[in-house]
Amino acid sequence: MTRENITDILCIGCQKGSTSWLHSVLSTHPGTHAFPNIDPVTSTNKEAHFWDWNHKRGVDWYRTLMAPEDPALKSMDFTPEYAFLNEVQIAECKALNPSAKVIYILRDPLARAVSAIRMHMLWRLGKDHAEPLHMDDTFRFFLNAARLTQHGDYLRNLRAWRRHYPDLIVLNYEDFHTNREGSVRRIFADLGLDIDAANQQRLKKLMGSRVWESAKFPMDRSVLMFLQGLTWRFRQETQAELGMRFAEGERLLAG
Amino acid sequence: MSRENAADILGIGAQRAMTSWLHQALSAHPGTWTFPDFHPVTSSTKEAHYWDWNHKRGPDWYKVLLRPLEEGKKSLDVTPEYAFLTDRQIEECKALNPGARVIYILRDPLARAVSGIRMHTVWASKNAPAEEVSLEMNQTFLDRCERARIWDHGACAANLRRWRRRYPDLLVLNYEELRADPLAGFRKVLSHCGLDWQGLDEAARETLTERARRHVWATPRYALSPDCLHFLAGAMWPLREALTKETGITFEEGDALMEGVA
Repeated sequence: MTRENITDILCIGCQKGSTSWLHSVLSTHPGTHAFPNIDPVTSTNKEAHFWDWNHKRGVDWYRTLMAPEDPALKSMDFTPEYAFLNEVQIAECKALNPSAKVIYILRDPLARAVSAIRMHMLWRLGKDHAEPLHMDDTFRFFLNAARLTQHGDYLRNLRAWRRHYPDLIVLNYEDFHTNREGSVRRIFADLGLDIDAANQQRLKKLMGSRVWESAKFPMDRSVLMFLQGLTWRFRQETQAELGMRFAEGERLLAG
Repeated sequence: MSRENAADILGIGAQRAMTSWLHQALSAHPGTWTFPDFHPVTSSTKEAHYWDWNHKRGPDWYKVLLRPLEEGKKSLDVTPEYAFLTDRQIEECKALNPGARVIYILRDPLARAVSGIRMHTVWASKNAPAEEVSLEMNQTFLDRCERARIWDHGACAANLRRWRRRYPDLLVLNYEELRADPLAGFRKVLSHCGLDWQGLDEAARETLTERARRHVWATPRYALSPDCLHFLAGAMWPLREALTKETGITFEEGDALMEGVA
């Protein structure tokens, strides 16, 4: 059997939108396939990073990496940096994966930005770092490292991806908290996977677990307000166009 | 005589970046023409607002409005909302005004946003004195940011790229330099517009010098809370970065505004 797609299930973000958790959830199903972890060429067995890190290795490399032993399995690549691929890259993705299911999880733009900055702080400063983040050069360093305007510009990204994948699946991260059971059932159904075939023990454990969170490094109010301003457009546009409601940011600002 | 352009000199912004000064100084030059005040169809004699308010009136309306009564004069339209016209609108502008001289004054997007919000606060508060109004982070403030269109007016880099596609020799001025030395900036404007300085008589030069030095349309310095200022700094940050990348200009006004803010 020849495979139609190199990758059958693409999750393109957002970064800090519980993509790792969703990857684990879908991995409980015998019909899915995660490629082998060849870190640091890939990031674990979840992110193949074909278009950003590994494009130079060529299409055959990507095809070989993603190919399951049983060609009927659905191969997964969950790389959040795919969210902001350009038009040419997405067109290539469509050519390589013409009938792939594409998932884009959107998260409250402020909460996502805060979480992303914290992730970079963790990498750079270690988990025992205690000094709050102030409005200074350290903050500006993380601000640039986190590529907030690329990861955060949901509508731009969504429009670009929908041109090639009009039936892309869009989810609100908050639904995993307010209605986890229903959201997960919906995703399995949209992917054509029977949820009852999943490993119920592992699935149950994940359904009860916390979505992975970065360490809660404290931040000055000024930093939060700056990030609120930076992400305001993204919030307004996304809520208006998709009818989504984001509530996480308000709670963050209320302390 | 059929004219080449409806408007010969177009000031496209930025709002809150000395465009009223530009208009006053230019209209003092005997080689320019200012259309009559049709308030509220136009905004005074400065802003014709053809593409936003008056497009429905058609190109002939615009041509007639801007036609000078004295032949050979250069007609002015200084409408800061033109800065964020779409590519299609600018294309139409080029067709109507193929030889127009276009001027865009750039200002630090953060300082510009603060000034724009203060201007809208003047209107909302019916001209309250500076010490009577202060702005806090709440829905009123956020609505005012929207109404003031700080993201459109602040997107100078993107605006500049769109305008340069049709008017590659557009004159870009830095507000901070203009503020520091208006006369030097004004002479750049004259030369860009093909208007004469040397040939002017002494009285005309004196009037122009005097006008170039005027501080036009300063808004009361309403206080903004630290939350508001940090919000604006974040909102404008990508736009400032993009503008510096596009033009190589490093703006100082915004940083000065944030100095000492808790």
